[in-house]
Amino acid sequence: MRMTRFRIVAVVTAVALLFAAGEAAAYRMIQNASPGRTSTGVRVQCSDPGGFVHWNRSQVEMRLNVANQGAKPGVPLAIQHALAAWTGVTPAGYTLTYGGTTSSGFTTDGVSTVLWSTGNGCAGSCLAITALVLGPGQVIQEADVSFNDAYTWNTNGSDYDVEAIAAHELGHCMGIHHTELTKPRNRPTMYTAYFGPDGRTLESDDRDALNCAYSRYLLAAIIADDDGSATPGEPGTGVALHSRVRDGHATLRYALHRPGDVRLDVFDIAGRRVTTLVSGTRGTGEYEVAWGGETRMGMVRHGVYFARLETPEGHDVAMLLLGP
Amino acid sequence: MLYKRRVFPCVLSLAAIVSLAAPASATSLVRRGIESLSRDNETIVQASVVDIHSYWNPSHTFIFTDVHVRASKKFKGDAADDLSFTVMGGTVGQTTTLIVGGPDLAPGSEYVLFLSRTNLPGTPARLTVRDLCQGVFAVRHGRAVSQAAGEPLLPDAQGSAEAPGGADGLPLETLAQQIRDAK
Repeated sequence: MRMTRFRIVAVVTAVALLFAAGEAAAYRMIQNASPGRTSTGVRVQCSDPGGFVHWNRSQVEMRLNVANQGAKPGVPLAIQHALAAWTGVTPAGYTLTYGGTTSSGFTTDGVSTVLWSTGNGCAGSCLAITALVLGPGQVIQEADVSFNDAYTWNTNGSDYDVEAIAAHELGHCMGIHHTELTKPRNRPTMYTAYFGPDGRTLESDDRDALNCAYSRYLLAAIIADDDGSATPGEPGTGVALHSRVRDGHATLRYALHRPGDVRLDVFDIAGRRVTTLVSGTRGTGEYEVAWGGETRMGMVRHGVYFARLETPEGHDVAMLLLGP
Repeated sequence: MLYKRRVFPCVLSLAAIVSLAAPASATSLVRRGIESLSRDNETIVQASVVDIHSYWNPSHTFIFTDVHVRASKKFKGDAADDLSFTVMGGTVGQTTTLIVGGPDLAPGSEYVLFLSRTNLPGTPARLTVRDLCQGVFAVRHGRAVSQAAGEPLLPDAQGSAEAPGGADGLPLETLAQQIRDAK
């Protein structure tokens, strides 16, 4: 695969930015310890040269085992809300979906499962535990979450809150370890201890962690793609966003095979939306959109940005490097 | 992995709760001190890891790792000098099962281990490190350093937020005395 000079510069710049951001961040990622010892997760920064556990696809499906307290009313919805919290992180393009119920357990069977049990090594003060099944290269193949069925679980906001703890464990499922933040308010969901239903919502530290995973692994695939298009592990979704940057201006190109609502947003590397380039119904055909860094607040600074396209046929992400 | 939060009411209220609850979930504290670790685990040894063996269980549904250790000191229980216990996770071939927050045990290294029997996936009452990373102290230069050191634990009833001994660990003699005091 040919790598143009632009892409080499883009990769170096993006990596430098990511590493600079990673050093100051409090979030930590899960690194698989070296073989030859028991396997636990080592907490590392985003920039750690040893990398960390990650998915190599953007679609992650979780199923619910309705045995024990998994059968409680409201549990499926609570799990779906927790999945939605991580799906909503941008520019990371992960989609965590609810796959319905399953009879699978805390086992390696290719089915990522949330379940309630007292027999999965989570006892005493442990409320829930996550097991990640990894393939070569620290790629996550399956993630199972076992809630401690010895506790009484609730979905009405009282302790112990299913949605809050599901959000936390799903963070582990996405390769995120406990944060090092210990502040008393606005705690990240990846705080090490349960702090009530406030844990349902993600904080910037949580979002930065997921964006880190996305940038380091899925975005790498995007950058390495020869024509700059983004296909982060979802071939065949029928939508692709192509980007080209020349003379400090970006051109974004996409095609629609059927009419529908389209949204094209640009985000900075911290995940903040800086502008919306397209929002509305578009007909079948090919489209090109130019962007030179303009926003309602003025011109953005030079640097790395991400464009995210959402259509009825799927979504895609492309990286933009705005320079002088 | 997620632990319960600290209960914030005063120590007296907490003590009342503690006195009424079962030992394994006696408090809602995150941090586990030597006293509670000693009380809630049936076997406590200082031991070197001789070898580890990871394997699929018979139904090929979970990877376990048997840890074979040689005990040099026994603080609690009547374990044999050569002792084996099981932890969840491990690597077999190209597949790894990783337990977030689990114990990290390397052959050739020495640890103080807090062990008890509990249910593991598909296998009841296995001797294991029930308290995961809080149940393992690495022995280095005469000191024992908790594998939970560095984890942002919440304070316990005594106001301690650090794993016992913190990053520097405890002198082994101090740890041994605390275990004896707790029994």
